[in-house]
Amino acid sequence: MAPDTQGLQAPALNLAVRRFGRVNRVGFFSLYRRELLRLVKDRVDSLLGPALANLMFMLVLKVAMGGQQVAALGLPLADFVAPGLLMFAAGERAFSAGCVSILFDKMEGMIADVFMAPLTAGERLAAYAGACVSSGLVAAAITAAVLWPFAHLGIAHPAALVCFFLAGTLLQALLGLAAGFWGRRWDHYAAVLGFVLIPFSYLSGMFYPTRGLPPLARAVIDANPLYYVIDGIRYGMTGVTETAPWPGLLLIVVLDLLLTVLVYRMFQRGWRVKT
Amino acid sequence: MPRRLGAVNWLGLWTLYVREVRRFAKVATQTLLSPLVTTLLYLLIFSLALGRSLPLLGGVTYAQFLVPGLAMMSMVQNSFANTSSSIVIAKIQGNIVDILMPPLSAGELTLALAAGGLTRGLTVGLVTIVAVSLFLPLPIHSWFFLLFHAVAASLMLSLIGILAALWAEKFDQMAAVTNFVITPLSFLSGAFYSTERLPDLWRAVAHLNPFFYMIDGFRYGFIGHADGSLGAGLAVLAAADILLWLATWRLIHKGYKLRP
Repeated sequence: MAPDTQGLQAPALNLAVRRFGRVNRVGFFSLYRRELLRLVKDRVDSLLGPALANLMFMLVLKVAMGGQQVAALGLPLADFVAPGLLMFAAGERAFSAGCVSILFDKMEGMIADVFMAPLTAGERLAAYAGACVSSGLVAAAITAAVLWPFAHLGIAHPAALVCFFLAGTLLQALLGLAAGFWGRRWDHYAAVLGFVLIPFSYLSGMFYPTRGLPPLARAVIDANPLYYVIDGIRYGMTGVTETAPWPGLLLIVVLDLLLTVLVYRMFQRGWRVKT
Repeated sequence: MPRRLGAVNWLGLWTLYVREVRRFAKVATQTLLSPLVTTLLYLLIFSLALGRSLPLLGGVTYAQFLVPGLAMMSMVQNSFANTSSSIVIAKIQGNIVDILMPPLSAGELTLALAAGGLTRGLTVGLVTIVAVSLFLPLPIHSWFFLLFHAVAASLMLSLIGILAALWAEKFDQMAAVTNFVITPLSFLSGAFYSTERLPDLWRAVAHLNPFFYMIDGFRYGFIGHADGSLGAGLAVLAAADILLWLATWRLIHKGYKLRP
């Protein structure tokens, strides 16, 4: 009978299984908060930079038009383009946030912090995706403030605007997380961004109406999910649309669900993290 | 026994230059292909959004007007990225000593680093022009203006990249210079529009932007039409290159933020 047995047993009691209930709320919010803070920490790079780049697009279009009124779908070109720029700001940020977070932690070996913590795959996915979408929305808000003097930013259909914005940003956040799991080096991130995300974003009818384009270009744009997101946001902001908005939203939501399942599996298996 | 190098350490100069070139050539998808894709997208977007509604500018289509400006934007951004990233990463990771320790003078360091950035800028420009000319006929009016502006502009941004990287101590600061100085100046340089369309005041402001002369003269080399004065362009670029060269050489010589 050693005298220190009691001393050893006392802390062991504290290390007993913790009870969280069904959801580990503290863990979820901690991870969400960590992700969001790291995403807004380098605000010059991540928030002001994209807003400024979008402002450049707007200014250049305005100046290039000179005094003439270039109209698209009956809207002034600036008003036509603004919804796409806002979506681009949100989507690019959400994508980069997710991809850089996972990739950086993998390369630095600190992703173990996330995979060791008592969180389920669903909680991890929700925290990451939530933080990415949040920072995307912040980027869009800053971009909106910067574009305000140059375009009329109205709200015609609030429900449609919110649904399309959330669904579209989530889509790109999930893509970013998937790309983060897939990538092993920085140039993998650069490649997905430069050869997938940016082309899809730009070739989405963001800058011009697709009516009157050559058939091949129309087919390419019709096959691009972001086209429906941007068209839907434009519907939410101006009431003008090229396609029927609600079937477009259904398509985006279905894609969101498919990607959620895919990324959930990645978190569950630790694809290219544990394997 | 000390090695004798002569007046110029040619071997060291060449070695550092080759390292700078291999740095970007190794990740060519990121450093050459990605800028090309971006330029082609810009070309497509702007000619689709505006091409049909704008009148011909200087007797060429809007797409032909755009190409030299877009190519020049890409060249200068890549020249800047090459020298600035090389030095900032080396400073932060501590391997800057690899270029400070060898027997290279300040002039040799400046030359090798700037030449690396120049090489990347010219390569990006060449790739862009060749790729675009596969499906869009590009006239060539003056080889002299085309080449002079290509070299002078890439060199200028290579030097600015070195200066910015000497100053910056963190990646954030570098990103700030890129986002708030280089990107706006290159976007608002007349790459996308003729400055003749601007109101008088803004035209005067635009003509104060050195990036304007890079693009204007380079475009003159292709389409034979310039918005501003060609002579002023040659003088501005030559003077800027010489002054920046001297400033860079001086700061490296003093070891500004490089040596304690």
